[in-house]
Amino acid sequence: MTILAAVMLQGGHVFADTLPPVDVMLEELADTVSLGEVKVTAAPARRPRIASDGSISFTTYASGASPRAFGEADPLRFLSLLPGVTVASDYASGASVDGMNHSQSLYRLNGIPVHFPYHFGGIFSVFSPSLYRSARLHKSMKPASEGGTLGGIVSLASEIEPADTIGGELNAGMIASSASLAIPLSRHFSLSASGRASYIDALYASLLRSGSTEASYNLADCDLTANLRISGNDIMRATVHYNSDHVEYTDRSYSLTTALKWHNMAAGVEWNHSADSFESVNRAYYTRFHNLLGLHMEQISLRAPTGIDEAGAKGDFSILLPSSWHLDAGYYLRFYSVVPQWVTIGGLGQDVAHARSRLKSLEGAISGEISYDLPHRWRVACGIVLNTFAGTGGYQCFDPDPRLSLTHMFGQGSFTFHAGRYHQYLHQVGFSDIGMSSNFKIASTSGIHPQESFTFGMAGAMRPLDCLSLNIDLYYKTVENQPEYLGAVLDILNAGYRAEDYIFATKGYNFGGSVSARLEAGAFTAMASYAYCHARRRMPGEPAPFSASNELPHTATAWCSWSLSPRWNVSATFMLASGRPYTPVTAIYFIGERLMMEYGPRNSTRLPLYHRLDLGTSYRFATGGRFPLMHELNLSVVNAYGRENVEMSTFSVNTVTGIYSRRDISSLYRFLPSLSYTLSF
Amino acid sequence: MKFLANIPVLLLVALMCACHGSTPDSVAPKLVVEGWINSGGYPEVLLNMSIVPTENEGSVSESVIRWGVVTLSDGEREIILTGGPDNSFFPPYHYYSFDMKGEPGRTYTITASYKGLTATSAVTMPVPPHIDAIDVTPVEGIDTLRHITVRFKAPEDCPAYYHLTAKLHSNDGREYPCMLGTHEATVPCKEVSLPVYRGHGSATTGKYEADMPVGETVTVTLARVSREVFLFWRAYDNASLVDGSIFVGSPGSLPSNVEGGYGVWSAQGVATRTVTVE
Repeated sequence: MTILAAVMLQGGHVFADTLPPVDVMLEELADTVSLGEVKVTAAPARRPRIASDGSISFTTYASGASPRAFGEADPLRFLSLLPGVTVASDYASGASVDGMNHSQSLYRLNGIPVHFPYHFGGIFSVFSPSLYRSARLHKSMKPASEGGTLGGIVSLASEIEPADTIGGELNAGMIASSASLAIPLSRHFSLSASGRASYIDALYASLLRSGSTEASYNLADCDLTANLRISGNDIMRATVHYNSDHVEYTDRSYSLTTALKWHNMAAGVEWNHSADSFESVNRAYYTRFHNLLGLHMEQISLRAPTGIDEAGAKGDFSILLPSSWHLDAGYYLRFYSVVPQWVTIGGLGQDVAHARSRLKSLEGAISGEISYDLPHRWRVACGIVLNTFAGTGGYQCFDPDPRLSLTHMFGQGSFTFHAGRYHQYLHQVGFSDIGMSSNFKIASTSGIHPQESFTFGMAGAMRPLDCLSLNIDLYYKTVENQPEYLGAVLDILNAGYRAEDYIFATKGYNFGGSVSARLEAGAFTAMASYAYCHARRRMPGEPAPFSASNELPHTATAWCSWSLSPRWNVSATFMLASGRPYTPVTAIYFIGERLMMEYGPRNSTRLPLYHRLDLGTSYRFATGGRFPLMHELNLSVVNAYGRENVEMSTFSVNTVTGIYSRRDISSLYRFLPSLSYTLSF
Repeated sequence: MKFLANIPVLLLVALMCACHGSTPDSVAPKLVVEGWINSGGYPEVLLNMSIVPTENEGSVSESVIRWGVVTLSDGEREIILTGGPDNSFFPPYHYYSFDMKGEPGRTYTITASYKGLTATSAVTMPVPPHIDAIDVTPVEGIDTLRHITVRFKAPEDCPAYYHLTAKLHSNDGREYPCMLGTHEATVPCKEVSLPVYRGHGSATTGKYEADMPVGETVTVTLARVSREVFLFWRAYDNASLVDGSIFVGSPGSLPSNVEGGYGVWSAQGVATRTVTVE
């Protein structure tokens, strides 16, 4: 007799989490049935874990137990519920970590950088939740093995061990469906694949049309991983990822069609070695991100493509030394080939095509961090990252980044103090304030210096009760050379246009912190957090600082998930955040019978308060005999009380009545129900 | 541990200290000038007041200036422009004079004043261009529209800056700035072809067509302008193109060659052609 039961392990106790596929309850079986063979699947914890250094780990099990948008249990969407992580806009792609820009976060898929990990509007990420099941976020405090970015590092990972049984998942959502399958081809080798495609245009074409506007959008992504155990200590893992998006927006009253088309392609192979006192991971990869922004007005067409191709290698070594010493070492090498925004224009009588420039650069680092367990439960970790960079035009730099961490453990908790210097050599700028795909990558040059930060942080963790965890973190960081792009669309038409000429280096600082509490009491899991952030930037030559685009002074999130029974689960999330800073319109006037706007100081006012409640419920059941199947129906409502969160504020005029009025553009998600069905085996 | 216990209190204090006002600082209204004097033509000026939108809605009638004083000097003479209602414009009021004709090479200084506010601007009129030809060609797939192209030759004294305006006689009361109607000529004597796309005013209703309807009489004006005027119209084009787009951030304020106000004053050398679209 085979029984499939998913159980959750916690603190030495075993909780039944789902029903077995037979018509009896697990509790009854335990006393009355002699089992010949039982397969027990341990499900990971439903709540995120926060380590003593403030890094946060969670699994897609946690994101799956949260209300979903469009039926997708997306890990990066779940990220925005975590303390210190904010998403400034429902349209935004990317998350801000501790008030830093979207482009100052690094996203990795099985260790491979993915330069734009979002489908349009941040609806969900390009990461397949059924394949990449674990996620980790490093915020401001990072070990010496992590360099190359000033903000957060988000790492998604699939299983490292080869699958030993066939498993799969089929998810049918409202705008997209996905499927994944893991197949063991031998005892030591397995293949996993997943794919997702949308049918937005087919099902929602009428909803995407209004009086004078029309939109179309389609997305697709696919992944393939292969796991090979070479020996008892060595595993190889290969990863291939591809995604593409195509969105078009037509305003017939202007005869203007704006189109965005982008794709990521990432492929890599890694070798994991694990022995008693030595672990290592070495990987080589290739990744690319290309975007095409098109503006079409009757015969005029403007195409502004951008792209980055990157090849790299990264290695991490962890050595357990005698007498309480521990050594971590690492290296990485990244070769970038970047095409900054350039343009071709047709329809102006004579076609314009500025010469495309390709900027090639090489970034490398070696790092070492040694830690020692001091008396009285103190631990000190001291490390250094030696960065080198060689860019276009002979530009070179060498930047040593020292790091120091001090951890004290007590009873049921710990705290860590951290100081470190960080550099970032790859930047992203563009027309969009909310990090859309049209923003282009550009590496450091003699005119665009590396971004630099001195970061000081503290993270504390306590567990006053078995079921309750409390965390706090504080940070202060300086920011130098953060690039701001001040070009306009038609500046690209200027003779001799060079993107670098429109990029200005800002400087500033961020400080803030967060507190969070996580509760896991039997079938009830909850997390609440509050974060404060103050982020200021200053343009060169301007005396007054301004709010950084991602500065949301106050954010509070609450999330809970309650398993009413082994079949039913309900969940809710609530988000409350200060409005995003924006540059206000201070005056309006007419020129050429068009309404023109005069803007005030940069980011000097804020959109109204953002708040949103999402609700979700899921029903799970199992069927099948020899081939058991798990089914899950999920119903979610995003923005359950229909809050019209303002995303953009502008003005329009009715020339018939002579009345001008403020026009607030609200978010995408206003009472958005979604239904999904997931079949897994 | 005591330190940890105090942190929430510190955060609360920081929270209260860091509250921001959510409304922008108010600014005083300014004069808005949209004016020009063409070579061989007479000055025309639209003078309005900018609106400070403190409320969510209001009337644009408050922006119309009916009792302003607009003077124009060519360095030798100074004239006062006459104001009057004119439904050809929106807002429907403009200032004009037939006492001064535009001459290339002269510097024209405009001064507008109203209720203690003064705006001034001075521009030297460039030499007028010469239109070599106007081509009217079919629009692929649309029988009812024609595509108009202006051909001219760049001067020897490059860089030279151009701005296109057009008027559809059956529909427009005035010439409107053409969409994407700016051009910077950098190569001397090079032949330039510029498409003529209809301007798109806030008053335009219905489906906007960039090309010209068959049967329409169209007046096209190619103006050689100063660099400051060119930069204004280039920024104006940019704002018109991306206004309200969620793809592109705010284009920022327009530059202006009007001191003490917003807008643009242009003394420009012009070449004008009128064609019937067939």
